[in-house]
Amino acid sequence: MNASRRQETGDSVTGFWHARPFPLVAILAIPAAAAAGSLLDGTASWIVAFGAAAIGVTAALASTGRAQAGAAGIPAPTAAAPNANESVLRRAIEVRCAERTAILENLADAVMLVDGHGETRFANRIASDMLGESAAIAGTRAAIEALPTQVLRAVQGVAAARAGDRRRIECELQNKDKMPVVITVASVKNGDDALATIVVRNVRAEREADLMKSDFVAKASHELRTPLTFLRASAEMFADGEVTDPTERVKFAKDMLGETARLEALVNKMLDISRIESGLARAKFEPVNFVALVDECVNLQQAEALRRRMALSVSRRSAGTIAPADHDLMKQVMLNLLSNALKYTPDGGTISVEVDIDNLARSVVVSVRDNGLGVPEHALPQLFGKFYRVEGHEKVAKGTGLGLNLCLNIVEAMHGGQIGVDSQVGVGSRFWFAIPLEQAGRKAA
Amino acid sequence: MNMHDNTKAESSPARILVVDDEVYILQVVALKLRNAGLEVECAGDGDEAFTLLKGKSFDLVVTDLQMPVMTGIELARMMAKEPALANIPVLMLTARGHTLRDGEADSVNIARVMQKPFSPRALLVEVLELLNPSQIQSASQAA
Repeated sequence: MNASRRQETGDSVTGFWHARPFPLVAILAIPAAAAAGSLLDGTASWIVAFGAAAIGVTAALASTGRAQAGAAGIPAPTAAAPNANESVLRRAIEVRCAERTAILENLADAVMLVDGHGETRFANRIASDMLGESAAIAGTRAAIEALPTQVLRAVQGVAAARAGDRRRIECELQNKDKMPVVITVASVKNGDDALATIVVRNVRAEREADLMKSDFVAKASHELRTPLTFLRASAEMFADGEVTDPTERVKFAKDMLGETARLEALVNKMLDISRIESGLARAKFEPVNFVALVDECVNLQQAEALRRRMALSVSRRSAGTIAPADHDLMKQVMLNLLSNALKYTPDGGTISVEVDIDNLARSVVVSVRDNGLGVPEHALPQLFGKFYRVEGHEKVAKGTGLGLNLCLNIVEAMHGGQIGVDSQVGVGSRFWFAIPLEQAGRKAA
Repeated sequence: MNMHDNTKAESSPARILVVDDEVYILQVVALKLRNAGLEVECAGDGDEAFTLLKGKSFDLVVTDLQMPVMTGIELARMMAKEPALANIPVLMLTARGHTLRDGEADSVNIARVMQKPFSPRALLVEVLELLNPSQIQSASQAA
């Protein structure tokens, strides 16, 4: 349906051909080049666009063997040209037109060419997707009317101005769930015609990324402030000689050290996550024996488990659980899961670790089971998010709210693995992660 | 001094309730105020605070804003509904950047707002300023 409408536009264009061959090519080629230019480098020099149009025509001529036509490469259409050559030239130019149209149709942005009154000369497919089916009908004002009114004002403004004038408008489309867009309106001079190109770019993804960033900063600063508040206040108390009791002095100092450690852990995790997310951190792959790794980590946590009369053990050690991975990062994930299990399981509880092979998925699966507090179902989807703490759990143990997000990043982004949890409140949790036995281009030794 | 006496004698120290979910913050604030000769009780959340408020008389409440279970604002609202508690001034500790929304502080007795991180010295100054008017008032009533 869309296609047939644009065909109409195309037909009316070819209908003009005999009367005004070159301006027509310019109309089609110039906005294409201008649009492509503005999208590619954001500068869209009109001269470059015109040059591209000229090159398009020259190329068309060259391919027809009419290299002799015009010293500057732009021939003057003459009635004296032989009919056979003219039809070859016409065919070549039609091919170029089709190519330009194809480029416009494949752009992810809506591109329109309108006259000074806002009547559509051309609109690509994305334009009708964004602004409605009727936006693509040439000779109507459907497209301009679907846009905020400041776009028409910009069109009138640039149409009256010199060639190369550009306006940038940031707004929301009213008909498309308030799609945030950046609209660029640029003037096009074609003989006496004062036209304008309108390029509409959907910036929802960018806006959402911005929101996520500021949300991260807000949450991070909240998490940083808590230890900072205590450290600042305590330091002042010491400076003012208010902490006089010897036992109290020791307690304050120890708490200050603890909060300093928390700040340090928080900053380190934030940096680790941001390095992974920006692609700066790369895993150093080597064959990792997961049974040995798990034993090592469990031994490291054994003292804490004993102190709290907890049974911490490795209950399954499957053979062949060797996979290419970054040893230190795997250790970090393992220690994180173990420390969470210890934190959220009451004294006297049981934690068991299993190292398995999933033959179907071709991966090593490590599970940490506890009979602790468990995670309520509503919290599960957010559990691996940044700074998420299960309600009430912050009273049980201190944490940065970043540990599981870091694990997710290490396992999934850096190793192409998977991480997950099954949990039931009051019964316990099973946190697991799976690492592929083979990385692309790497094999476990 | 009788700890369980609801009607305090003129000479007895002012009694402050400090509410924060961060134990460390409670510890610092309590020490600072006690060193200044004030009587301090601590609560880890709004529920606990409200129970304490109903059991004893307090001259001032110092509370954190962002707490689980019940926020500082919710605590202040509950206090505003109780005639016996409606006149107790509340000093609210908030995170920098967190401004109270329009109407949020309406109809509640939030006398001061201080941003975290805060100086215990500055907090004590605010507390003493908030306590003074009531002392002046009670002195003038007695006269």
